[in-house]
Amino acid sequence: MSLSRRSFIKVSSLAGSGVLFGLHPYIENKTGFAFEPNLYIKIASDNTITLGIIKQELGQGIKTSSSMLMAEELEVSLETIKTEFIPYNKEVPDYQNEWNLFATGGSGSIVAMWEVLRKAGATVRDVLLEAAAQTWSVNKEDCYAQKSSVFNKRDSRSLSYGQLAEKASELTPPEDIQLKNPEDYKLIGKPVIDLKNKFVKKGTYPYGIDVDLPNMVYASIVLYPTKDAKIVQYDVSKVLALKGVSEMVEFPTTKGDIVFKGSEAGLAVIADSTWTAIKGKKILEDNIQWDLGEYGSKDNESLKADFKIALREDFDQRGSRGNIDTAFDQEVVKEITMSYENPYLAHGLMEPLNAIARVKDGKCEIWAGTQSPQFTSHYLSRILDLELENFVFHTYPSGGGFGRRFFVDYVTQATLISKKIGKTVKVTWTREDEIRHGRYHPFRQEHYRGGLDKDNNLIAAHYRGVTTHTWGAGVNMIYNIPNCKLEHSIRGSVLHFGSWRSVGTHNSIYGRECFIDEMAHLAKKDPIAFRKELLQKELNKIQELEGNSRDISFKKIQIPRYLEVLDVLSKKANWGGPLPENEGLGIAISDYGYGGELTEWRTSICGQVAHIAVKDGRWEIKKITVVVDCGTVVNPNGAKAQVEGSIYWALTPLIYNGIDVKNGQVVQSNFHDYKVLRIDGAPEIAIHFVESDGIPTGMGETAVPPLTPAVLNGIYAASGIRVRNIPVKELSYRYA
Amino acid sequence: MAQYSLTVNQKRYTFDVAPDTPLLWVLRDTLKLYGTKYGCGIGQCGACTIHMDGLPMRSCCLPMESIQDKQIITIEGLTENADHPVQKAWEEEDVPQCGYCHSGQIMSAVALLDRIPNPTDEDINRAMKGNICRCGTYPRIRKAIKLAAKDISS
Repeated sequence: MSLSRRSFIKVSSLAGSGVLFGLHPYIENKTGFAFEPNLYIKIASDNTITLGIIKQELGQGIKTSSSMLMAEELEVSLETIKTEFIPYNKEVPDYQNEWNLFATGGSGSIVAMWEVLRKAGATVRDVLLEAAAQTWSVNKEDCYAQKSSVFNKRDSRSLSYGQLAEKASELTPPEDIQLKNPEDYKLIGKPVIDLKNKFVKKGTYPYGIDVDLPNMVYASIVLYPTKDAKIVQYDVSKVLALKGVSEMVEFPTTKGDIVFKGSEAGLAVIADSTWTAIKGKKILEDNIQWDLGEYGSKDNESLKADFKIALREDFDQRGSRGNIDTAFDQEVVKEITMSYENPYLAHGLMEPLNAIARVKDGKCEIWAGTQSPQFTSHYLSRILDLELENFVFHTYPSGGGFGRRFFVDYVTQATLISKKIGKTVKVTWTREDEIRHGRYHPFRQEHYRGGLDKDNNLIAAHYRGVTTHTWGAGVNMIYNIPNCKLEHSIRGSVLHFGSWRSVGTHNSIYGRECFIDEMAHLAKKDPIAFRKELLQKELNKIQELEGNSRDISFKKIQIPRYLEVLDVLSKKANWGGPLPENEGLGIAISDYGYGGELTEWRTSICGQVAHIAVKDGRWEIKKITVVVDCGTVVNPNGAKAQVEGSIYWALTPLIYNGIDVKNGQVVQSNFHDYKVLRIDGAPEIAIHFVESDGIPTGMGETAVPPLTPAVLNGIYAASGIRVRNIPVKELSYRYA
Repeated sequence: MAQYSLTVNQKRYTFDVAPDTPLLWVLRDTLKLYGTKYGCGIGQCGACTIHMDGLPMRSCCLPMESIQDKQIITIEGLTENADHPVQKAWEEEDVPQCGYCHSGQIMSAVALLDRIPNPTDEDINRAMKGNICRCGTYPRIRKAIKLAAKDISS
C-alpha cells in the first residue's frame, strides 16, 4: 500500500481527537509545563516529555504502543519519557460524546490511535523544528530532530525541546503534516519492553484497588441474588456490632438502554478498612432472607429445555442463498447434523472489580480502572442527574479488562453509595462477587446441517444458532456454499450478558470451523485444501459482482488474506507431515475487528494449527502454530503477548467447567470451583506475523476464536473422537 | 482485638487487630503496602504471596494470631533497587501484561530458586502452579525463571 497519498493529512480533520493546538488545553498550566500543544504531549522546560495516554491499559500494552506511536514521530526515546493516564473531564475535547477516544474494547485501540498519535507527535516535532530554525535564523530543512533535541545540520548547535518550548508555544502548527515512511521507522516494528514492567517488578504499579485517599470509607457489597429477587427480611445487628463497621446502606437497581449500562441492587457494609467491610458483608449474607423470584426456579436444565423449545419455533433469518430445501432434497447424498454447545463463562480477571467515588457539592469524582471512563461518566450523569462538566474520572490501569470492565455496574454502586452517605467511598468486590455477579459470555448452541453432493462438494448448509443474547449472534459464513440459510434465535437469559474476550466471534467460529472440518472429513478432503477451495470459490463469485456493499468490499479484501494465511500456516505447522498414530493436527481460521473504511476493510486474521496427542483417555496439546495478519505490528513483543494470552484464555473453557446455574444463581464462587489454566497446562506456541505496513487492525482478541475449533479438530485427527462441547467431556486434559 | 508483633521488610511492628485478620489485609490496610495483591482470599490464586521466614506463603490465609513474631518479606522489601535476578529477568523477558499477578509470581519464583537453583520444567510447574495468570504470561514466566537461574549461578 502506497503511503505517500495517505501521509499528508489535514490536521484539522482530527478535530475532537485532541491533536489541535491551543483550542483544548489538557489542564491549566498549574504544573509548570512550558509547552502543552495538545492532549497527548507536554514538554517541561527541563526537557521532561510527558505523554498522555487516553486508551485504558488493561494488560494489552496500549500504553506502550501509544507511546511508541508518539515517540516515533516526536523523535524522543522511550527511556526518557514519562507517561500519564489522561483523566476524563470537561477539558478533554469532545467530552460530551458518550463514546469516542477513551473507549477501549473490540481490539480497536491501536486502530483508533494509529493516525491520531503519530499526527500528534509529528505536528509537535514540526513546530519544534520551526522554533529552532527561527532561533538560529536558518531554514527548517537545515535542522533535524532526534532524542528530544533539535540539531543544526551545518554546525554543532543543538537545542533541547525544553529549551525550545516557550518559542514553540508561540508558533502556529502546520496545516498538513507528512508522516514517516515505514522504512524510516526507528521504533514502530521493533520489540519494546512494556513500559509498566519497571514498576510491576517492584510492586509499585498502581491499580484502582490500591488507591488510598484521605477520609475514605470502605464498602463491601451484597448484591441481589437473582434478576427479580426481593428482600424478605434481614438482621443487621451482628454486622453493626463488628468493630470498625459504621453503617449499612441499601442501593437500588439502575437500568440502561444497552448492555454495558445497568447495575444490580444491593446492600453495602461501610467500614474503616476493606477487610472489616468484607467481614461484615459475610455476616450480612448469613443474615438475609431472600425471595428469589421467578428466576429462582431457573437452572441449567430449564435453560437447555428452553433452547430445545427454540428449535421448534421460528428463527430470525440472518442470511440466505439458493434453496436449502431443494438442495437437501434433490442434490445432497451425504449429510451430517451437528450441534456445538458452550456454557456461560465468567471472566475471572485478576484484579477484583473496584471503584472509589466522591459525590459531593454537585460534583462527582471517581477513581477506577474501567474500559471507558467517558462512557461510564455519561451513564452516571443521567443516573445522578448531574451535568457531565461536573465529572472528573481518574483512570487507572487495571488487572484485566477482557470485556468485563466496560460494564458500569461496579462504578455505579460506588457512586450511589457515596451520594447516600456523603463520603468518599471505596467499593472492593470480592472474588465471589466477581464470579457470581458477573456479566457472562452467553450460553450458546450452534446447530448445523451440512450436505455434500455426489461429487463431494459442500452444496448445502443450514445454520441455526440459539443464544441468550443478541450481541455476536449469527455467523460470518465466509465459505462458498451455494445453498445456505443462516438463522438465529435469542432466548431469555438467567444471567446477565457480558462481552467476553472476542465476544460472539468465539462462539460462532467454534461452530463454523468445526462444521467445515466435519464436512471436509465427510468429503474425505484435506481440511486446509477444502477451506481454500471454498474461499476461492467465494472470491470468484464476489469478484463477478458489482457494487461496494459491505459484504462485497470486505470479502474482496479479506479472502486473499485468508488464503495467504492458510498457505503460510500450512508451511509453518508442517501440515501433512508424518505423525505418530495417536497424534493429529487440527486447523481453524477466523478474523476479528472493525473492518470498515478506516481499515480499508481489513480486520486481523488468525489461523491456528493445534498439534494434539490423545492417549489413555487423556488429551494434550503438543504445540499451537499461529499465523497472524494484523497489518503493521507496532510492538512485536506486545503483539506476541496478545496471541499467547488469547490462546491460554480460550483454553480454560476447553478444559474446565463453565458457569452452572441453580436456583437462578451461579453455582461457582471462586477459583477452587471455577478453575482456570495454570502454568503446567500451558502448551508451547509458535507465532508468525505476516509482514505488512498497512494500518494495524488490532490484536487484543484476534487469537481467541480459532483456538477452540483448532483443538477440537485436532482431537478428532488424533483419535477419531468428534467433540462438540466445551469443556471437553469425552477425554480429560493431561494437565488439569 | 489483640496485639500481634511481626517484622515486615526488616522493620518490627505491633498491630492491634482482630485475631483472624489475614496478614494480607494488615499489609494493605494498615501498612499501606499495596504491592501484595488481593485476588481470591482463599489461597487459590497466589497473588498475595509473600515470604514468611524464607518460605513462600499465601498471606490471605495467614491469620495474625498464627504468625506472631514471624519475619515477613513483601515484594517491596525483596530488594533495595528492584535488582534481584528474578526482577531483572522479569523485565528483560517482558513478562507482565496487566501485571496484577506478578508480585505473587515473583515472590514464588524467588522462593523456588532459593530452594532449587537449577529447576527443571517439572520443578517450575510444581512451584508456580499456585500462581494464576489470566493474561497468559506463563511461557514468559518460565523463560524468566530460567534466565534468572543462569544469572544467579554465574
